Amino acid sequence: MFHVKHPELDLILEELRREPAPPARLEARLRAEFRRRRPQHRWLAWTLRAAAIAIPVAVLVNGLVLDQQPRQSVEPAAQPALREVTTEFFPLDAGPTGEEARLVRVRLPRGALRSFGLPMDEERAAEKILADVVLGEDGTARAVRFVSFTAR
Amino acid sequence: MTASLAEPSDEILLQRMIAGDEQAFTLLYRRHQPGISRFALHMSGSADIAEEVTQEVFLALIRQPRQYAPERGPLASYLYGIARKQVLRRLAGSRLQATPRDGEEPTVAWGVEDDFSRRQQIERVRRAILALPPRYREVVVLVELNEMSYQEAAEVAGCTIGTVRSRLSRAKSLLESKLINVEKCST
Repeated sequence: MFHVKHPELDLILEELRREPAPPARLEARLRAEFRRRRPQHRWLAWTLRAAAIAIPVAVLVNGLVLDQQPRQSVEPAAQPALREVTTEFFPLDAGPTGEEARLVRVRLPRGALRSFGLPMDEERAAEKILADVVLGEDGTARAVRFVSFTAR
Repeated sequence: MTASLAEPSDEILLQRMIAGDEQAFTLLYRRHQPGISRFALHMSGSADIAEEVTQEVFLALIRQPRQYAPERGPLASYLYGIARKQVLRRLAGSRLQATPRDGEEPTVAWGVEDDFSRRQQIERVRRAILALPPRYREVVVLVELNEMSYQEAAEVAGCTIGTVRSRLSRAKSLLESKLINVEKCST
């Protein structure tokens, strides 16, 4: 008795490869787990979208103040010894920004940091912090980053 | 394992998911679940284990999405790596990992197509894969059944491309050694 290479093995591996994957019965359960763990994101994304379509120069929407003027690098009420520090941009929407994208500075509740896994002091959750929002041509908020200031 | 040009990349979807986008998570799940489930099924031979492993992979993604470091490789490799550890953990100490004793190894008889249906042959090869030592079994499953490149399989298995090649060659030799040509053996 001897062993020989068999092209049949490759053919059978091909058939095994084409077998359908096991059914995706877990999807509903996993999506429920996802929602259970991240309900606050929907509020934040909605709030930023609502802010994007605000027209006046300064509009108060659920505690959000939208400033349509170009982003300033230093807080007014001048503290010239401070240096602006920002986080990375967190994408909110995968759509294209277009050539007319804008960067606007807004104020958000500090609790928004939690939505992005950033550390925050829970006792200060209601305070306002600065954030830069990228608005696409259609006014949809595409990305956000958070701004803070540190001593030089 | 990669998205088409018309679909957001894994990295974009992951960032959106971190930001709370359920649809982004759903897209990631639907994109990777078939491969993960198929890998777990072929490694374990158990539909129950395959489902458990798949669930653990995506729960890990939901609970600790920032554990994934893009600089270490594609998201798919990261997910398969979790699946691999989950499968090996479940197989450790189980009968599935033990090499069948002499006389119990599954064999396939060729040259007698009238006696064995095609499905029986496929089933015997499937069992032969399960009988392989895990380090050979996983390269067969990743490369031959999940159609990964040697590079992708190396990232999942945590070894070099050369090791993947040599293990795959050895694995296929082991599988072929179980394919007995009955006509030749009977002479």
